[in-house]
Amino acid sequence: MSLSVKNLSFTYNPGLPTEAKALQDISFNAEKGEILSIVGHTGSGKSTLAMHLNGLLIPQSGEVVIDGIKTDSDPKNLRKIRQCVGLVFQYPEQQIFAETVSDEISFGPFNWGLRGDALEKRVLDAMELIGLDVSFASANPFQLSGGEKRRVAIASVLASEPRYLVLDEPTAGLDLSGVCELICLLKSMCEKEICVIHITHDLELALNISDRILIISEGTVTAIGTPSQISEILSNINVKGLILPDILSLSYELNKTGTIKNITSDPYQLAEQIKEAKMKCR
Amino acid sequence: MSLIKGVTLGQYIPADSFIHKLDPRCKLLITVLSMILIFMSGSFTAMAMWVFLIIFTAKKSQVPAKALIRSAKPILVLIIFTSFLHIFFTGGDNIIFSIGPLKASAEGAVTAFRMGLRLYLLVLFTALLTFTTSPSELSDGLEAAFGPFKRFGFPAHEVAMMMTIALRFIPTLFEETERIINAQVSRGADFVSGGMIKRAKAYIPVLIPLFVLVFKRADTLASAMEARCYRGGKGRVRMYPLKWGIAENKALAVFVVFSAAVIYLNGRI
Repeated sequence: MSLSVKNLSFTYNPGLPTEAKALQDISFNAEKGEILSIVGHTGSGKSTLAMHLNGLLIPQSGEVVIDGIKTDSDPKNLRKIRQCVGLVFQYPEQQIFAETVSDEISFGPFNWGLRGDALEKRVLDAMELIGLDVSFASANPFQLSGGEKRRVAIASVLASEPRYLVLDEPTAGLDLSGVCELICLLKSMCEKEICVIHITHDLELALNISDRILIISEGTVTAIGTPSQISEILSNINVKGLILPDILSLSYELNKTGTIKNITSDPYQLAEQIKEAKMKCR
Repeated sequence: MSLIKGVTLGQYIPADSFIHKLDPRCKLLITVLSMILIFMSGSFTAMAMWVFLIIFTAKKSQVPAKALIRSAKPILVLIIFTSFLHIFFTGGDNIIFSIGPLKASAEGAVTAFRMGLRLYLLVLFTALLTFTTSPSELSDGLEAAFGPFKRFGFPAHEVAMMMTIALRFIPTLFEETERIINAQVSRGADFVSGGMIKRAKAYIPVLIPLFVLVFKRADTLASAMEARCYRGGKGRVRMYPLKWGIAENKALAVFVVFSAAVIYLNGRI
């Protein structure tokens, strides 16, 4: 049971002068209980990829298989897939429409056929998960602050209890404490055996929180691996539009001059290595 | 962008042509005059001349034939409907066929064809105007055209500015609608099944966020305009003042000669 993408390609407006290749021959797997970050610059095809993961876009070639079900134009399959893959769009607070927070959050599970007590329980569970007090349930979502709105929007996806959670730039526009809260949430989702696919342009964030990272550039997979593997790979190749975190650049420089042996994106490991090097000097 | 796929009406196709460079006032004047004349033209000779003029202008302005043909797509239903009515309700003695009380006459068929062609030509003409005139030029032209009514308190500049903004935001709004629809579909919204009322209701979760976004955008835009000291049309100067020169005179002269020929032939053949 996993999410797998095989040789996926997608072109916008094929055959027209505005034709644009968004994805070319993308393949990867995502397992339950892991955080997979998809990192790429603006226009690299990240969002197009996200829309393929729950069947909003159907692959033009290749396939996307979720728990054994292929995304195709069969509406029955698509319903099943959308129920099990929750997609949180960029700026999800812009999709809010209901009069109360609980109405907003219950929209998803209601559409999947839940009613009565079960529905109410889902809403409360989702609110608890995202750290919204029960007193918010009857509040007007349009009167909440930006961060609270974002949480309501994410809760409205969580309430469907997806097995795969895809988030497109969930940290965009959040302040530092908002980002930290969100990361905590992603980690707790992961502990619940949910597969979290986190799409971002922020490599530093990805290196810090992910189990695995997929780097996408101009619609193709440039690299895939654990954060330490990715740190190694990026010392040899230049990915267009990808800004390296300062810590990684520092690590590369120290490695080049021979001060440290292992490339790392972890500040503590780096400090440890520098300390050792200093000891040797004496 | 499945919503607006293939609709080219109102689009601007940039190119470096004599027609693109013409003063928008000149193009507007010619378009309005030709619309009146197309409605007056009854004979097929006159129609053929209009078709020729449109093809000639399109060729000169490098507008792709595909875009031109597609431009009438949104009102094709209207054209077909009117033609349909004309076939059955014109009356006449030469009945081709009849469905119950509805009788299709040969005279009706001719009128229907004429009416359909007339509407089609009208749309093509206006499409040519928008293909070759950028939205800002168009609104400048409209502002100039409305100019004389300023004396009676008509807010010519404001109306032109409103049109420019509306045109500018059409593609943006389509994009946002698409995005919100996608987000709601991901949460299980269903826009296809159920009866009319159920389907109409399904659009509430799209319309409300869209309205909220539109108002926010309007607010931001108003602040941005105010921050750059916009305060309406009074005393406003232009970066590119409209210029009526020899080219415009020539174009208008050619059009007048052409129209005279059309009017002359329309009465005879």
